[in-house]
Amino acid sequence: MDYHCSGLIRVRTIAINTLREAVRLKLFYLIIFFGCTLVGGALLLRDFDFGRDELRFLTDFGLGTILLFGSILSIGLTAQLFFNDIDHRTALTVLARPVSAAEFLLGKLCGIALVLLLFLIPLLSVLMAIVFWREGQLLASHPSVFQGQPDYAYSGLLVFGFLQWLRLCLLASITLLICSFARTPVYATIVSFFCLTICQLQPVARQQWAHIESPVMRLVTQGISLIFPNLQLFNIGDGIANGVLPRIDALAASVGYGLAYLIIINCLAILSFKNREF
Amino acid sequence: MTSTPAVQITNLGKTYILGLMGPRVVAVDAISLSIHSGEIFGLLGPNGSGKSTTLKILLGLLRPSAGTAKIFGKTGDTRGARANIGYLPESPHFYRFLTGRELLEFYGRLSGVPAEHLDKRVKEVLFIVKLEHSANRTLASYSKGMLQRIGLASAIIHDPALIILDEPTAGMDPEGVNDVGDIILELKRRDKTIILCSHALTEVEKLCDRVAIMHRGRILCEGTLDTLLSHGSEVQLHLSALPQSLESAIRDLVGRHGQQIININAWRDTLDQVYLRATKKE
Repeated sequence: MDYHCSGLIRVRTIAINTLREAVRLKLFYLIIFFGCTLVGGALLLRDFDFGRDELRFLTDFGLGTILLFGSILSIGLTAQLFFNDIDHRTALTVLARPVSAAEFLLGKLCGIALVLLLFLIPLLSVLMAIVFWREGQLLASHPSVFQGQPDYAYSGLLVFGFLQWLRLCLLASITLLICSFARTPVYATIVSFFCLTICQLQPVARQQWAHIESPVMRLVTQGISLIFPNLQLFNIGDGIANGVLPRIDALAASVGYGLAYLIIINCLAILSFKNREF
Repeated sequence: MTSTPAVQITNLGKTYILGLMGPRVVAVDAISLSIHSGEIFGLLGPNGSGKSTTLKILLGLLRPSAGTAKIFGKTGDTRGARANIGYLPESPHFYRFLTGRELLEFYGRLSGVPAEHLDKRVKEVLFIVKLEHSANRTLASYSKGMLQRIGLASAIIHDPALIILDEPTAGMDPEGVNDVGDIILELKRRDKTIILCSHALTEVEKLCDRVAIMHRGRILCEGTLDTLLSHGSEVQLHLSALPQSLESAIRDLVGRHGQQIININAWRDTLDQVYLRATKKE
């Protein structure tokens, strides 16, 4: 039989299978459960009404929770799903077919991206629900602070959700790159968390590097700053509680930046995975 | 015959370096093999003899250190070559959350079976491996033998010309082993080329046209079963019964022709045959 099949079908098949595998893992539900509990639990952390700032507190706390649990899920799940296939030799049965290393990795990444979307939807929904509920209460109790009009930027939460999804996909790509040459999931997970720390601390590091006098050292440090993406660029949560949305051009720049790194990191992962022996 | 062999291995070598500066381990040492289309070829040898490494190089999962391994004229690292191969690894572990049917659909899609043919093809292979009644159960509920059979089904879902089976009967009961043997013979009847790696030598003897025995990365001997198993000109005579008078007469006759009877034994079935007869009656 002369069968033809496009790469897209193979990527989609692997992605759907990865999604089905992930949603059967207890880790996925545990993280969603604890994430939702913590986002909702922010209501218990306030001792008194403090008007508009309370919405800001709920938002910051919720977004921080999403960032933290999303990062854990992104790294932990990617390493676990990748090494499940390697350790159980299911990767052999897939790669012995007309499936390229690129299709295998992209399928995994797309599947994980769908899982991350499934993670973000309930957490953002819980956050929106508690902010909406408290805003209603605060409007009634402190009408002067809000000047009678609600001004919380709910659409900003959706934009934030999209940017965080991109950020988590980027983190999953970095983990996949490390998995492509790592021999154990523990090693891949630890190194990925180191990379996450470096990426998160980029703005601080850049400030310090500006003061380095040696041009060679400055060049080296600038090189390092180019290798690791600056994940702080995706944090736009600050103005949401005050009704301030990020500017379109800044948003487009962040998306472009994320996509560029996504492409480069995946190309490196594919190159590395192609050379892996089973 | 001038047609391209199904598998052509020429001076194939694979050396692993343990650690960064560690010792070199030769897994496959300059072997050459030719496997013809439509034959069942047995690749035998103890654990660590280099069989699986050879198969993985064929499949493009490992890169050779020396030599070439070609499938229908193409190396295994090309997609075109792999489209023509069905592979069942040793002790396969499939996605346990999928049903038998879903697993076959998954591998069918990856292997390029067109969507409009997939359902029909899945039914066909489920029938071949006798799992049509368990198709909608998840693999987590399958027995070891059923997992091997669904693995075999996934290897042939795309109707490949070459089928590589690494220990396909491991962990199966004699009835399952017999069934897999029947499936392999059916595939041969459909002109498939089959490479069979197995420690179950009775099965290999029953199924294979030719075998090669590997040890420490080298091929010790290779040939048809008739060539490898025959004891020169010695023959075996199978009689329905041998009364004393007939035995004396045969001994006389054989002696008059300058030959001798080496051994006379009562004919015995193998334990496999007894088991299969008994379980079939039930």
